[in-house]
Amino acid sequence: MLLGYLVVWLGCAFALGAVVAYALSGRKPHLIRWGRGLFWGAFLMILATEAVLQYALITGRYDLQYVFSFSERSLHLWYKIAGAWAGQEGSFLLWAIWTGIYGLVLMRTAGGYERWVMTLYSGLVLALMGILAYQSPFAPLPKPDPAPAVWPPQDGFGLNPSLENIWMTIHPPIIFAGFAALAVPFMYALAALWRNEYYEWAIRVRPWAIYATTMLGFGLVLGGYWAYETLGWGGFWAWDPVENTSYFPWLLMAAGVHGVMLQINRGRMVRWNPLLLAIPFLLFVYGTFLTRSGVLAEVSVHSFDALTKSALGILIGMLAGGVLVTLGLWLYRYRQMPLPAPDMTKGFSREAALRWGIALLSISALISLVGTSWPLIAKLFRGQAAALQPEFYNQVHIPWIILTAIVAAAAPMLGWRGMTLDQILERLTKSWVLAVLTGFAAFWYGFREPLTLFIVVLLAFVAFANLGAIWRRAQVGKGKGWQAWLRPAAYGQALAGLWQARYSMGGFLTHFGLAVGLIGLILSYAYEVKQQVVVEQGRDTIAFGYRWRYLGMTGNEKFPGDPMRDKFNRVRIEVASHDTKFIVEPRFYQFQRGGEVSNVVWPHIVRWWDHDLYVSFFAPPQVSADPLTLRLHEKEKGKVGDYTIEFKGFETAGAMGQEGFRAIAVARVSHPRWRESVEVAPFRLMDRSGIIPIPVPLPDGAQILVGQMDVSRRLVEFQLIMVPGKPETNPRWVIPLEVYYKPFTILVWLGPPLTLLGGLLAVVRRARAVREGVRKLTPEWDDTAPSLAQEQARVVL
Amino acid sequence: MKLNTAILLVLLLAGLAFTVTAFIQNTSPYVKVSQLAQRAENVHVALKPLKETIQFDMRSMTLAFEGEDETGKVKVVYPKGKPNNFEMASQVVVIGSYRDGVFYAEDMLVKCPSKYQGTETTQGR
Repeated sequence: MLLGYLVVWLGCAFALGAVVAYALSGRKPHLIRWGRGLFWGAFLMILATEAVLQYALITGRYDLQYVFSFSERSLHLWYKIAGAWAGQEGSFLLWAIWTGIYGLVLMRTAGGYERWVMTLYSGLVLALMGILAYQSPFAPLPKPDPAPAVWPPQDGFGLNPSLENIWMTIHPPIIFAGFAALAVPFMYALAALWRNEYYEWAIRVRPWAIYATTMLGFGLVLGGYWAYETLGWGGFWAWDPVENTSYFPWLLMAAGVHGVMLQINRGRMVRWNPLLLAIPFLLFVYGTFLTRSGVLAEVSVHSFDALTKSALGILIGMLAGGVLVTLGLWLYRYRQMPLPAPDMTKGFSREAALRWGIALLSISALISLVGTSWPLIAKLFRGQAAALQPEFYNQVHIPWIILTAIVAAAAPMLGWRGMTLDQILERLTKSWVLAVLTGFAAFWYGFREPLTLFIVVLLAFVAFANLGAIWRRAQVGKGKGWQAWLRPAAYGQALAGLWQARYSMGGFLTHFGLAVGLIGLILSYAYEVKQQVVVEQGRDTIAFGYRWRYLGMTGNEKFPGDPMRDKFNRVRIEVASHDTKFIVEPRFYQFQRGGEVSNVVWPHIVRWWDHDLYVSFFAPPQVSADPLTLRLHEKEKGKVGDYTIEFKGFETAGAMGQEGFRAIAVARVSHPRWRESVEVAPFRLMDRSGIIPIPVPLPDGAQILVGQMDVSRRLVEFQLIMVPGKPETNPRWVIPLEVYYKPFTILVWLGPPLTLLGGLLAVVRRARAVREGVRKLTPEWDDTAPSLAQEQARVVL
Repeated sequence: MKLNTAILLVLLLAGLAFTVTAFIQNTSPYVKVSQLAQRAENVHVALKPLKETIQFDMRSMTLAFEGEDETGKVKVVYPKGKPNNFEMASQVVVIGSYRDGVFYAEDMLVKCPSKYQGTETTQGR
């Protein structure tokens, strides 16, 4: 697709132009308008690239490598569109789109910072378009040799069926919204170091840092929901490298948000913040390098395709250049940076809590970073790859969650200036009592493992403390006794109060949602009960207090006998106890590509308010190989299954005891569905290794063979083997179910949306505060003035 | 040093010590068959399954086979059914522990000759 290449290269040119125009606009201020225009041009080219790709996907240009690999004719339009981010090139494009959108916002809101930030930011757009130019989604499909009769191919390879679900259309755009947002704080940090200005940038970067944390966090959560809903291994999170590479930048960006908070409110962390806000983006680029370059291929279950050399070169250049420039500039500027305000707190203060929070988040991020890189480190230094078991992350997060929970529970109650222990205890009593009551309730419910219970109580403490902070801000029920709540009007007033205080509760709501979600995650993991339940057709199984009965597979209608070839095949199982009865229908589908069979599983989840019953598979359904057997004397007739067998008599061939000797049992077999009975002669053959039974096929595909025979008593055991793909033989299915009991997953679904809401509220509040904050910094504030006072002022918003 | 700083510092050190322990416990190195005698618990072994030794019991969904690498052979027992493409796998990676001459695999990754593009697959889960 020439057009595709054209728009990508044009995008590169525009981005390069924007870099140059913005860089020179210091000398020639009129160039800033050129910079804006050229950036718009680059953005439109990114959109055009996406449009061309979409056009190619929707119209089915299977002569393109990308379209061929991720799309096919029969795909629903929706997934043809989603195919745009199924592969490597498409996800870079998605990253570029969000980067472009943020660039437009940044251009309008960066004020005096525009020139510096946009120079660097246009450079990022240039790098992304460069990667797309070398790793092009418009590359033609290489023609195989010898060339096939039909060329180009008329149909594509198709989307990986495990991606073909609703989450595929939601999760990638959101998580890339988070990834792309990491770049803005990075650029601001570099611009601040470049300008040697350390106050205004903090105010400007704050909403971006909160936004990036919020979106990336929500993207992570959506990924977890996706895994839980569709992958069928009964969990939200598996500590896979791909997951981790979005996890540690998120932790560090969260630390950065708190660092900026400390600076703006207390004048602290002035020198560390540029570093703290720059690193998450670098970590994300590093993660992209880890997962896209193929270095982890040996230790991960994900399959990664290596980028082309040139594209990988740009990525490594971005990483190495970014790290060198950031660290170098930071070290160079360190001595010139203003000193932080002196610590004036006494006793326990919110400031101390925030500092500890930042430290804990950073340490957690570091552990996950080292853990994820471990296979690479081990290979580099010991020459032998070593993988880290996922259990590692679960274990190490225990102490950090405990400590972070203590800090996060205390922070909203603490004053900036510090309080004595007595004052704190007084303030925290209510939430602590409620948390302990929650603990008793959990104990009563059956969650009795001491460590888990302790962590749950601590997290409940976080939830109640933050709820209390919201309560106080909304002034709900202030100065009234409990009797006030008897009047209906009180509830209206409470809602009005919450609405009034909506923008000031963002942070607390975020922590509340986080605590609730974590409680759900921990309970559902720690008290999960997992069992393999093998259900056999015609034979019930008892497990989890239910009786499990195989009913059938829906795919039978389309592919009789081989139902697993149906994309929407559901395995229907009836689950019953003494008082309930329901049907679970987990999906199982097998597809073959290039001689390789892959499974697609879609678990069935039955939800109650306090637990989920999660039904998946631990192995593909199998056809029972146990044969139907029937022992018959000579001239005797018997029935097995629907078959009637009459044993007519023995025959032999060859010399007894010699190789090639055959003992033949002649039989007549009939079946109600056959027009006539058949006479067959299965035999046992003597060969070098011993006596082996030789089966004979029956008209319906089943096979009959002679199991054992006793010639002296004229007795023979006939065996009938049922064959998959031959429905007439009535194969019996064996369904290897994996069933999980997961308590309180509902909390995992309730918490994160609140966190998202809280984060977005905080973004709005802090974005509005930018103007105000910058005006306070500079007496004669002018939106377009390139020079700003760099006085050492502490701003309290 | 203030009291709260001291308390938190102690907690921090305890947490770090715990992390290092967990790290050592959970590192699962790739070893060769001949090394199983020295390092038996929680290891990755890359093996070529020997076709004629494959046994599978449907009732218990247990798969047993012998695998070899360039240093020797080992019997493997895997209780989670037969993974897809197992028969045509040129190499499998088994993760688990070795006891009394048998390798008890808790997980198995099947590496296939062909490669399949995709951002995420469910293989091995």
